[in-house]
Amino acid sequence: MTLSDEGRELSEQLHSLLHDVDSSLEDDLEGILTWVNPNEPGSNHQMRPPSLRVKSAIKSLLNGVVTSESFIDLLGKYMIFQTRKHFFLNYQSLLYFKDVQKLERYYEFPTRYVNIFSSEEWCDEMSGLRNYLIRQNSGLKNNIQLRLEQLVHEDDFDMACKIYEWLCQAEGRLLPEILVDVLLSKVKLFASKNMNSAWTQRFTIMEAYNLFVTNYWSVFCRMLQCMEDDHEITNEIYRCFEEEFIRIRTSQVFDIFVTGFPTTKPTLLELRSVLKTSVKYTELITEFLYQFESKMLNPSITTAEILLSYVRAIKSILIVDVSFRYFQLLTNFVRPYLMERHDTVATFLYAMLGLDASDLSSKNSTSTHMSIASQLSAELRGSHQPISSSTAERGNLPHGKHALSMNPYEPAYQQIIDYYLHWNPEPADSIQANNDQALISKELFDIIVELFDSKDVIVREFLGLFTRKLLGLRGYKLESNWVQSLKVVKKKLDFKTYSSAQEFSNINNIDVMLRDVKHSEELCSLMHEKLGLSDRIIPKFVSYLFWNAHSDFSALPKDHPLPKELEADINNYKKAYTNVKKGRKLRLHPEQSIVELQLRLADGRDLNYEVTLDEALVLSYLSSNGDGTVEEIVKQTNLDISQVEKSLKFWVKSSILRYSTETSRYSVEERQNVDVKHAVERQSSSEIVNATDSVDLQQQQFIDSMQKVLPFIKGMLTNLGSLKADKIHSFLKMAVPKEIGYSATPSQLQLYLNALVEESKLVKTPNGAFRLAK
Amino acid sequence: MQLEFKKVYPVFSWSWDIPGDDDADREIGDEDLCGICRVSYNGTCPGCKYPGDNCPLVIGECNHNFHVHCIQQWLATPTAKGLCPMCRQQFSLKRGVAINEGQVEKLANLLLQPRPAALAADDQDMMMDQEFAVR
Repeated sequence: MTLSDEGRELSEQLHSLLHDVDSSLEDDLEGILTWVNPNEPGSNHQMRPPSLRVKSAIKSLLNGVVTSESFIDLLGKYMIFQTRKHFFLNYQSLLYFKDVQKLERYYEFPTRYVNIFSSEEWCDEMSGLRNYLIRQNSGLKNNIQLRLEQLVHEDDFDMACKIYEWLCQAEGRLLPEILVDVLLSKVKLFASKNMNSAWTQRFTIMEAYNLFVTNYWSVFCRMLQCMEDDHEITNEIYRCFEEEFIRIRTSQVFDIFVTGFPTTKPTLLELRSVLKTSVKYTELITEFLYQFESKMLNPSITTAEILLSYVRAIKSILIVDVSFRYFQLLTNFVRPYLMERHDTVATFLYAMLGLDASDLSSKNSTSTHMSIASQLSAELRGSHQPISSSTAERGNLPHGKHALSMNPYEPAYQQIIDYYLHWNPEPADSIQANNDQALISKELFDIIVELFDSKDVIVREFLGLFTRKLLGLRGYKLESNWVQSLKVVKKKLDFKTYSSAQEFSNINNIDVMLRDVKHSEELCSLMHEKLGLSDRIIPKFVSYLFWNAHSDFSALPKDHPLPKELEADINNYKKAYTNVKKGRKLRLHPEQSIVELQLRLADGRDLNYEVTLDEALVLSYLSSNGDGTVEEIVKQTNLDISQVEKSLKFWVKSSILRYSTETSRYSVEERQNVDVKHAVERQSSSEIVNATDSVDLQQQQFIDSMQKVLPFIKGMLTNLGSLKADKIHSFLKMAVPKEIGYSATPSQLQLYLNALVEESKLVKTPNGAFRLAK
Repeated sequence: MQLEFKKVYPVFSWSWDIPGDDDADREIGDEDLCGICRVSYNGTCPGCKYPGDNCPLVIGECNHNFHVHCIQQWLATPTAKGLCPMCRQQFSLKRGVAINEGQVEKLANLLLQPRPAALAADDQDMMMDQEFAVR
C-alpha cells in the first residue's frame, strides 16, 4: 500500500463515519482535512488562523455534532499520518536548527485549533520525529552542535539552552559530552581572550578562571544539571585553563622569551609554575627553536641582534626551566650559526663587559646598531653574578620527604633499613629541586661563554680590544667600566684554570701592559716635573713583545724624519729615557701614536684634528714642501706606501689636501672650494673608492691568510688521504699556530677549497671530500 | 698652511741597547734570544712576569748575552765553574756598557766563589764527557 492510498483510505473512513451521522457535514470535513494537511501547502492553513468557515466546521464537527471517539481517533491518525508523510518526504532537506523549528511550528499550528491531542501525545510524536531526524540527518546534527557552540561563544545562553534541550529531547537523554565539548571550546576562547596579551600579570590563569566561573558557571551548571560547588568539575576546568595557558604561551614563545622580555617575567614565572612534564618543556623549547630560527638566524639580522635575542632567551629559559636542562639545547642550536660570524666575539665582549658604544670601533655602526648594542650590554650587566632569582625559591625548599625522620614507635634499625635500602629512584622531573644547589653558582657569563669554542677565543679578542684601548688612551687612566671589565675577565678567565701555557701568557700580557702604562705615567711625571721636558708630549713606553696582539709592532724599525720642533722634543724624551733606564733605547711607532693638530689655512680656517702621527707626518711634509707625489712622500717620510695612501685619502676627504689628476700630485687646499657640487662629487667618489678598496683589501687579506694555511691543508691531505671540509676546518683550528692565525669560517673554507679544486691543486671526490691532485 | 702639534701621545717601544748590535735591518721576531732560556732578550726569563727592570739583561765579556736571572742560576750550579755556557770562556760582565751597570754587584759574588783547582781546558771537557758517559 502506498502512502497516498493509506491517506485516501483514512479520509474515506472519516467520510463514511460522518456520513452515518450527518451527511451534510461532509464538505466541512473535507475543508478541515485540507486545512490541517501539511502536504497541501497551497490550500492548507499556511500558518494563518482558520477562516470562518473552517472555524465553524471545526466547532460543529468536534464540539457539537460528532462526539464519537472513533471519529476523533481517526482524525488524529489522519493528522499524524499526514504530518509523518510530510516529515519523511522533507526531513533530508533540513539543514539548520531554524528549519527544524519552522517545521515543528508548521506541524503544531493546526493542533492549536483542532485540539484533539493531549500534550503528551503530541510531544511523543514530535520526539519520535526528532529522534529519527537526529539519527538520520547527520549534517543537521553537526550544524546544530556548531550552532550551539556558536551561541555559547556569543554568550547567547537562552537560545543555547533551547537548542540543548531540543537535542536532549531528540536523543532522549542528557548530552554531557556535547556540553563538555562546548564548555571546553568556550574555555579556549575565553582563555585566549583573557590571556593572549596579559604578559605582565602574574596570576593570569587564576584570574581568567575566576572570571569564567563568575560569568558562566551557573549557566553551565544548569545545563549540566550539576551542583555549582562540584569541585571535581571546576578543578578540571581549572586544569583546562592551565593547558590553554601553556598552549597559548607556547605559540607566543618567541615574543615572551625575546621580544617582550623582561616585561614578560611575570608570565614566565607563571609558565614555570604550570609546566610540569618534560613533554611540555620539550614542546615549548622546540617551538622556540623553530621560531628563533625563522626570525633570527638569517643573514639580514645583525650579530648584536642575534646575541641580544640569544641572551634574552637564555634568561627566559632559565626562569622557566628550573632544571637547567634546556638552555643547552639553545646554545647548541645557535652556536654553529654565530660561529660563522666574525664579529660575534667582539660584539659579545663589548656587551658583556659593559663597554660604551663609543668604544665600538666598527665604522659602519648606525644608531640602531648602537641601541641594540646598548640593550645587549644592559641585558648582560651583572651577568657575572650568580643566577639566584630563578632558583632561590626552590633552593630553599626543605627536602622533607627525603629526610630521615625517626618514628619512636618503630625500631630504629628497621627505620634505617627502610630508609636506605628501600630506595626508589625519583621521577626525572623532581630531580631539579636537588640539582639547584649545585647549579645556583652557575652564572650567565659561563653559560654564554660556552657558546664559543674555547675561552681562548674570548681572551684573544679581549686582548685585541684591550691593546687598542690602551694604545689609544689619551692619558694613563682607564675608564671605570674597563677596569671593571678587566676584573671580570681576570676572575672569569682565571689562568689558574688553564692548562695551556699559551693561554696563561695571554692573561699575563694584560698585566704587563697595565704595568707599562703605570710606569709610563710615573716616567712621564718625572720627565715633566724633574727634567722639565715639554708637557705637550704624553708618552707611553711599551714592552712591545707583550703588546703584540695585533702584530702592530712587528714592522721593520725605521727612522721617520719628524718636523723639527717635534723631533727635538721626541729626541729629548728618548735621551731622558735612556738616562733613567740604563741600557735601554726607544723606538717611536707613528702608526700607534696620536697627535692633536691645529691647522691654520690661508682662507682663515682654523681646524683641529686628532690623527695618528703618520697621518700628521704626511700632512706636515706637504705643508712644508707645497706638494708631492705618493712616491716622494713615501721616500721622504719613510712610511709604508699603504700608510701614506691611507693618510692622503683621509686628508683629501677632509678637504685639507687636493689631488691633481694631471700631475698626480697632492697639495694643500689652502682655500676651500666653493663649488659644493664638486666637493660632494669628490667625497662620494672617494667613498666609493674607499668602499671598493676595503672590499678588495678584505678579499686580499683573506686570500693571504689562507695562503699561509695552505701548507697545513696539504700536509693533512698527504697524511690522511681525503677529508671533508668540516673535518679540515676543525683540524686547522687545532693545528694552525696562533702566529699564522686561522680565522676562516667553515663556509669560507669550503669556498677556498673549491677555488683550489678549480686551480687543480685539489680534487673533489664524489662524496664531497677533498684530496690532493696527483 | 700652519701646522701645530698641540698635544702628542707618542707610543715608544723599548728594547735593550746592545752595543754593536744594530737592529736597523732586522725584523722583530728574528731577534736574539737568551742563550739559556731561549726567550728574546726583551722578554723575560721563565721565572719572571715583567720584563725590563725586573728581569734585566747582562752582556758578557765574551759578547754573549743572558737574562741576569738565567746566568745567575747557571753560575750557581757546580758544573758551571764560572764559565759562559755558550763559549766556555771565563764569564765576566763587559765593562763600560750601560746595560751592565747595576748588575755587576749582583754577579760579583757568584763570580768570586771559590772554584775547583784550575784544570786544563781539555781535561775539564774530558771530565764533562765522562760525566755524560757515566749517566
